[in-house]
Amino acid sequence: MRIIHLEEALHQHFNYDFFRQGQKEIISDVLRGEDVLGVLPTGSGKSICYQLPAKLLDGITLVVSPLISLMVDQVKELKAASFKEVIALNSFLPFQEQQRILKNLDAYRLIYVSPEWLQKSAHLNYLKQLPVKLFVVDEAHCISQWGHEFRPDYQRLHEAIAALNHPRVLALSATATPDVQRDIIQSLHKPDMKKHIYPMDRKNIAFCVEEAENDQEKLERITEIIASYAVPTLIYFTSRQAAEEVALSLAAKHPERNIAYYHGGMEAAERLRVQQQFMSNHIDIICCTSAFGMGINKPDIRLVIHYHLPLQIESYIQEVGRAGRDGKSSVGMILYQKGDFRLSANMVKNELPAIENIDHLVSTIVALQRQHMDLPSPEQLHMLLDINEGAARFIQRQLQKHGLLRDNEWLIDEEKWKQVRVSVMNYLEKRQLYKNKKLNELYQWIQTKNCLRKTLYHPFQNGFEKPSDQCCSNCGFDWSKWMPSSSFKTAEASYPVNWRKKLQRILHLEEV
Amino acid sequence: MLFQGILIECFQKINQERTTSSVYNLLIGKKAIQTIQDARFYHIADYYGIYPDLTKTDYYQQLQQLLERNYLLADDEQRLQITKKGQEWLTANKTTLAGFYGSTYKNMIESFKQRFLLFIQTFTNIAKNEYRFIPITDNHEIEQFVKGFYKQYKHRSMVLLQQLYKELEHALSMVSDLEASMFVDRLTSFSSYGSSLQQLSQDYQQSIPDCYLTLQKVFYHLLYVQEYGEEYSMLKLFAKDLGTADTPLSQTAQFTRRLLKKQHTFEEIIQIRRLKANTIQDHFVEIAMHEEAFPFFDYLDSTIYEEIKEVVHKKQTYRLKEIKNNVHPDISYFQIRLALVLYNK
Repeated sequence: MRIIHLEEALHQHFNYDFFRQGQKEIISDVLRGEDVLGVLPTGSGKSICYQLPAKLLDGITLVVSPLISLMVDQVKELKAASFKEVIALNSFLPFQEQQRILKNLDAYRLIYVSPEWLQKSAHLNYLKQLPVKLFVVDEAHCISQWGHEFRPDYQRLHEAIAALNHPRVLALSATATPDVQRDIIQSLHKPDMKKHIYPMDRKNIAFCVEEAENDQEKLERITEIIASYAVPTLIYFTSRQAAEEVALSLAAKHPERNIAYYHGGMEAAERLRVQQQFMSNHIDIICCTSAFGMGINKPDIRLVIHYHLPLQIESYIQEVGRAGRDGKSSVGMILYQKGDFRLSANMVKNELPAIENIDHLVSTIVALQRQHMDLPSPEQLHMLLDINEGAARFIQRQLQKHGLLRDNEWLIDEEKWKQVRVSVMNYLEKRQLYKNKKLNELYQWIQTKNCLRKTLYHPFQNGFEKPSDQCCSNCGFDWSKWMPSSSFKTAEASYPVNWRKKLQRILHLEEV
Repeated sequence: MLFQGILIECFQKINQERTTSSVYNLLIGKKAIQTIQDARFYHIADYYGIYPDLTKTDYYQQLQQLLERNYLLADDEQRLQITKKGQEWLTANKTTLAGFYGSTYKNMIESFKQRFLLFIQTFTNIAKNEYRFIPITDNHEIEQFVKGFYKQYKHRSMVLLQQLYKELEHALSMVSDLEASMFVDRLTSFSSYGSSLQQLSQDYQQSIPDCYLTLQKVFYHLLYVQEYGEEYSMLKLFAKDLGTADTPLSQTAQFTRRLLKKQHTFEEIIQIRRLKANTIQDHFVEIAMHEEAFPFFDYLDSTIYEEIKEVVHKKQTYRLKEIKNNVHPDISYFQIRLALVLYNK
């Protein structure tokens, strides 16, 4: 009976007709009150695993999510789908807005928070007064130092879970090796977690690695590919500037295609326009950075091209996994040139601070304190030091660990810093080595002569499903045999140019 | 070259008396006292806050182009002056720059814009029975505003859309066809999510800043017509209750103001607040601009005021340094700034 009941609920609340692999198993266990670790491949609908329980449980579901943009997107989507009792809390909310929400927290069923937000005891006190019935750790691999997106604040989640009187816990990830899975269970202090691990290989995606001499050749190659395939396409870059430049030059070469760029430096409303037009097929190619894609549920992306590679295999799996969510044949193409490795190595370097950055910070704060000047907020650290946000988070965490920062308040002390400096430096080196190792792994993978599919998924699982179409460029991938159906109509020739006509059409007055 | 034209005009007006960043502060609508004062003194208040999203990088990039193309010239102190070519351009194109009312509508435009856009998105969707859409803004107050509208008029959405068409048709007939067309392409509705700036830039072959400012200009135009025209009942509703009041004092200046009201002296305030004298002076100037009853003559007597006034007249300048060099050495910068506030009241 319960099974029928769940499917009805799924239809009633989310308008889906059936569960995807793993969803029902995880949801049933969660509703039964068990602690669950779910590892589901990218694009398999992880969020339903807590969104449906949030509707069914008599109480509040709290979701810890690492990325504010991802949180905000999810809330928007849920609201659009008539799930209204949902809110995202993070440090970027204007103070008054936050106060208004905190006073009415019991009006929500599903509350998203960032791990940093949860660190503040005042915030936790608000949550303690609520009947929190489910504690969700989204992107749970962030808990592990061996996960590719280690977020130290995630390691303190067990404290929040205890403070909330141990609601059932659901940890979810798309990329967790067995090591990382062990770390998650250990760090959450939940040894009896029930594991639901599903293979992450995607049988409908073919992998194709091509080497280019230089950027010019990459561009030419992309121009050729998009001339042959009029399908929804993502092209990934590591730099905003490159994404913009390539988008503009492709648009100049292909005036018949709708090409846009998307990156974190754009204003939120502009990003939303691009994203929504892509969803409705008004835009067919997006040149983007990793900022694009989280929480985007476009089922028919056919082609994911990497102009630049990310910094580790896990990110690649996530990005290429946005292709072919509808199960139809899709391609992940990687273009690389020799110089790319140096570029990536440089980015890895910038993801961590230099020890001198911390020295500089300490002396700045001390000087400001002496002059009784306002101290900068620890959350503005990256701007203060002009470093990358990841590097700033690293500093924050280290200062917290050594008692030089607490609850976003500076407790800087020069003597103390001198004492702990060596241990911070050692840890910094360790992280550097680890990140370099991850980068090497990725570059070894693209240069392998063995099957790309097999090598890609090997660290995560044993074996993989037989590909439904072609396998990879090392197994003889042939572009001429890839024939996806084109989802685009040719541009409407009758599009009115007269603004009055356009306005009438927009306001539904054309028949008048 | 709308944006660059505005830059040329601003640098002509400030006449090398201000730094390049002062124009940037003007365009983004910085609430600093200096910026608000500059906007009034140099008659560039229409451009105040017209481009809140402008980044420093883009700003300096545009200036660089104007320098390279000889519309502007940098002097020894890195202040920009307008060249003959710039002057000629300005004379020929002055009219295209008109139509901004930055200072007048500074506290209204953002909310007006968002109410207007969310209204169109909401009502064109519900007219087609589509209730699932991602709103163009998630600002709580704007959502509440449109919700109120929705409750009142949900069964008459077509009537409202027709009325809005009438008003927009009328208002947009007064701007150029290109401006109207770009504005219409930007709208988020049932049928389209609306063009991004990048798309407008490609479709109309204009720079992104020019597209942005063209859209802004149309919004200022809508605000203007609803204020002075009779036939804009819908637009009037979107502008309703949006204050035209001045920006309030900064928090820190409010604190100083309270101490001042309690009859504390300047020196006591420095002691109590543990701030530098300069900072407190900034607060005083800020308070002086906002308050009719500021006791100017506690800090400068009338002979000093007259002396400063005379220099302003004679030298035709508001540049503090130049005024300072031409008045009695005992007169302080603080006094000059207060005198300028009083002079412009």
